Amino acid sequence: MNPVLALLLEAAVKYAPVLAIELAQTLSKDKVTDADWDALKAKYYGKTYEQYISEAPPCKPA
Amino acid sequence: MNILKHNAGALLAAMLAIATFGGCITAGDNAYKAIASTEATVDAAMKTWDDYVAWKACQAGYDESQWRRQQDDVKLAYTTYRTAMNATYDARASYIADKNAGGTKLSSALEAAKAAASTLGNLVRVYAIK
Repeated sequence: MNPVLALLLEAAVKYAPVLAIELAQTLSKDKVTDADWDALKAKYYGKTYEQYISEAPPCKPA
Repeated sequence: MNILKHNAGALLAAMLAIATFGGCITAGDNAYKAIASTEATVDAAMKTWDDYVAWKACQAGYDESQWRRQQDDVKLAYTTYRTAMNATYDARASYIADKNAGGTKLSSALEAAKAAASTLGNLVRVYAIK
């Protein structure tokens, strides 16, 4: 398998279920509270690109 | 293989499509749902990008200047998104403080954030899948 594709599929398997659950929980909320807004803002507001890009682990031997 | 490649692209596209959740945007529940959905989708896209960056660092024989440019593009797109989305939180705070002032501002800030999220997602999709 193309290694880039393998990586993307791995990412899809890793993140899509978490995203699906998060979206389902978000969209099914009956009532949004101030605490929900505060939690959302605390999680994302001001988050930088560098905070997403982790230090690369050592490469596995081929 | 092409089917798998198509599916990976389709998955990312679907993730981004979800982020376009809209409806009547006020400072209430719909705004929360639109903002939270967009944030979660961008978060997943950025985690995917992080995995790709780590993977790419272990590859040999690629055009380093092109790779640097791609990373700069994604960084700029994310920063643009973050600035726009931060503005939605600020606009909501203004709206809560003065209901006559912030409604339109919130709606336009959210539209800008969603457009920036779409640009970011497309870059991640194109650079990582192409």
